[in-house]
Amino acid sequence: MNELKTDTEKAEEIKRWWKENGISVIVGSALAISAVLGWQKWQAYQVESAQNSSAAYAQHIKKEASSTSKEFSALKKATSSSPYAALAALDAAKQASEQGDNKTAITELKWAISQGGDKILVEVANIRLARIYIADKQYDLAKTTLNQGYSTAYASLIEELKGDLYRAQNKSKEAAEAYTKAIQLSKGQPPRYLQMKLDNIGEGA
Amino acid sequence: MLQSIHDNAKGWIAYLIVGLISIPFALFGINEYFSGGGNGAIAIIDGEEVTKREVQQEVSSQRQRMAAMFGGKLPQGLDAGLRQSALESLINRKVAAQHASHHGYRASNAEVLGIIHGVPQFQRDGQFSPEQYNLVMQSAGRTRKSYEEGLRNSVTENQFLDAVSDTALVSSLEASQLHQLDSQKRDIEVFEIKVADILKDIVITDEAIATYYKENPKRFQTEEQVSLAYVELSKDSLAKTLEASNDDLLGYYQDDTERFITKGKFKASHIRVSITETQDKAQAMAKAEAIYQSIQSGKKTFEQAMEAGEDDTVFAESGEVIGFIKQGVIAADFEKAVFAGKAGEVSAPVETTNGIEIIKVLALVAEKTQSFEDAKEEIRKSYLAEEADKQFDGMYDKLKNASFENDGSLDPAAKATGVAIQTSALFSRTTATGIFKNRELIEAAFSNKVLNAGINSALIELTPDHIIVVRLAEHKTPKPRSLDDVKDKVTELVKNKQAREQLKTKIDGLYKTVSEAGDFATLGDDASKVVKHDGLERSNNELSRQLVTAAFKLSAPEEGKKVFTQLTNANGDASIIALTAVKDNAEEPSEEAQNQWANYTGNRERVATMQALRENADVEIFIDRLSTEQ
Repeated sequence: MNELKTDTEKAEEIKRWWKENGISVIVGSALAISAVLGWQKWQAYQVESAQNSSAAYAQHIKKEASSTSKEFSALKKATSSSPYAALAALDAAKQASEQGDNKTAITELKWAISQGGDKILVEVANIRLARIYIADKQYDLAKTTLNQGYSTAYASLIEELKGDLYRAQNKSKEAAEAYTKAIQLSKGQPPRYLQMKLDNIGEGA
Repeated sequence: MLQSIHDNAKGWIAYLIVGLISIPFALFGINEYFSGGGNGAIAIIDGEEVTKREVQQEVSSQRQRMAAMFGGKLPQGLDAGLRQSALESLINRKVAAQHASHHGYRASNAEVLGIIHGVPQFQRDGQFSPEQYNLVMQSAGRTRKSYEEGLRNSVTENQFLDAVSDTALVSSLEASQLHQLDSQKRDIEVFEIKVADILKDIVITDEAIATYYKENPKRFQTEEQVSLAYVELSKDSLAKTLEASNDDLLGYYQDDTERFITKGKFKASHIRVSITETQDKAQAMAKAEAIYQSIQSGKKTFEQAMEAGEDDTVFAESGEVIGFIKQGVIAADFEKAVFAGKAGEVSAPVETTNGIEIIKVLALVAEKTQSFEDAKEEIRKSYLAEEADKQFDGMYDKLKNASFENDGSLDPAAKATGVAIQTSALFSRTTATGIFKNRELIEAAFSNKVLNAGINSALIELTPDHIIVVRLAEHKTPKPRSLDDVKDKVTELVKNKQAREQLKTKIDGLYKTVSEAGDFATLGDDASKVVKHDGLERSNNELSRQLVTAAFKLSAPEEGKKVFTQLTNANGDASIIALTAVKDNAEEPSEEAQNQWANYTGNRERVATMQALRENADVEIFIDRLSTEQ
């Protein structure tokens, strides 16, 4: 900076600079402010819509009576673009399978899987899908589903389902092996019914 | 103007301004340097720290929960385990919370309010009360906002896992299969031979005994024994070493005089004339006066006057029925009247809060203050116990440090605490008595450190008020015992061994013929000893667990045939089991049973999902930081 300039000269300089850049500064500031406000509003909207979805889902679960498919689609709509929609689909699948409606259960689970996003939720849904496939006698699809990669934590559950699959196909030896693995892989005390399934395959004779 | 700022800014003002500006930088900077960087973190979960303080808070809340469960007292040495489990649950919670926030879970106001409305502490007369809620928040020193946000977070972080267990499904086919399996019944036949049946016919030679004795020298040794030198310290023993001057005791007496006062008590009958709307004080007094006069003049005794209630404003109560009343319990004016009198005397009518009373004192024991001289022994005891209590912590540290720093001898520890070293009698792991019966002490006494390295044990808390440090005084290694000494034991062992061997051969042979024939008939006369159990259930607990399990492991027989297996119990008794029929439960499972299977699966999926969340999160644990003190 030239230190010999007088105050008037400096003021002149500032005025000139403002003439050249004033509009960009104003526009830039306005943009920045609206971006910040917009972001805040977006965040608030996100929080609110998540809360609304949560409320809709919680109310639905509390009701616990078997819901109609209409109610489910309404709930899915109400919770759309939130993680609660996939949870609603999981519940729809549960209700359908309990009423023996495997087809609907499969559709709902596939929908939850197609939402992607949460890897763990997809794994849970896939495990359930395999369960329904076995009940629906679609053994090849069950096998493919069970052979996808899963987190190690699910190893015992997967082996148990493989055991169920083999048993349904009357492959006693493979079923026994799978159940034995399921028992070994389960953390802590293995569930009583797992041993029961293994014992039922029988030994000797 | 700009010029003047420019000029002035060169002097001391400039330094001042720069100094002021640098203060916040310095402060925030320091904070960052000392606490940041994960120095104190016990674990880091995707960049988020679990601090030691959080772990400690969790430990103390878990400890409270457990103490409530165990009725106040917690077993010693629980802390390490508690810290570990507290850390685990903290990590799980943070992992779940991060998953929830990453995927956009957020509990609604209605859910949070629902919980708040259900908390009994926030309710009045069974209804949620906003005032009560505010009051509790204020007294706990919390704001509603932070409490509600905390609640919202804890609901949010559980939503996904709850959903996993809530929506777990079991197909109707699977449920009925499981139900059939679980409630299946089986018909079995059991033929058993007990070791005792064989044992009674077994005869053994001296030679067999001698051989067994020679071949198993370790089974016939004396037990390993130790005698310990020890320094023992308890609050009781500490109290015995302390002395109290007369002044100390007097001070104690004066500080706590209340304690040495025995309240007076009395037994009295009374006749009360009530003051009512229709009978003012003067009228009541007149009526009481008349009753009193009739007693004084000898027309009636007090007891007769009690019975002759003239109207419903006169009420009498017998002291014999009420019994002794302690001073300070009953209305003061009544009490005053009682203590003004003597036993057996009838008082003139006095006005009390309840009305006009005529009182006959039956017995009177005046308040008594125990004199210092009388109370001295009791005071000395309490005083010394309190002094010992104060000094115990210091002695604890002295014993701990002196025995640890000089672990080659107990002398420094004895010197530091002023307690003499004592020596125990010889004892083995099983013959320890008294204070040596303590499990932790026995472990220490026979540990490598004490037994072989010959150094002091760590300080052992027999109870929180009773501590000890031990070291080896004498060690008796196991020695062989002579055959004569142990002949009975050897004989029994050899007989038992032979009986088991014979039983095994016998049952194997029988199993072969029976299973080949497919029937117990080949047993001949013994066939009558076969026992039938029809409709055996999985949950049966009358037969041995092993037997039931074995029966349910057999595959179903063809119609009219039997499937065999054999079983040897831990005690040597052996049996042949025949499965004759499997009866599946044809009933469809009830809704309740179906739910039960879904719950089983839900639980299993929930536990696995929590593990999967952790597996997929970046969790780093610095376990060594957890165990260090403070």
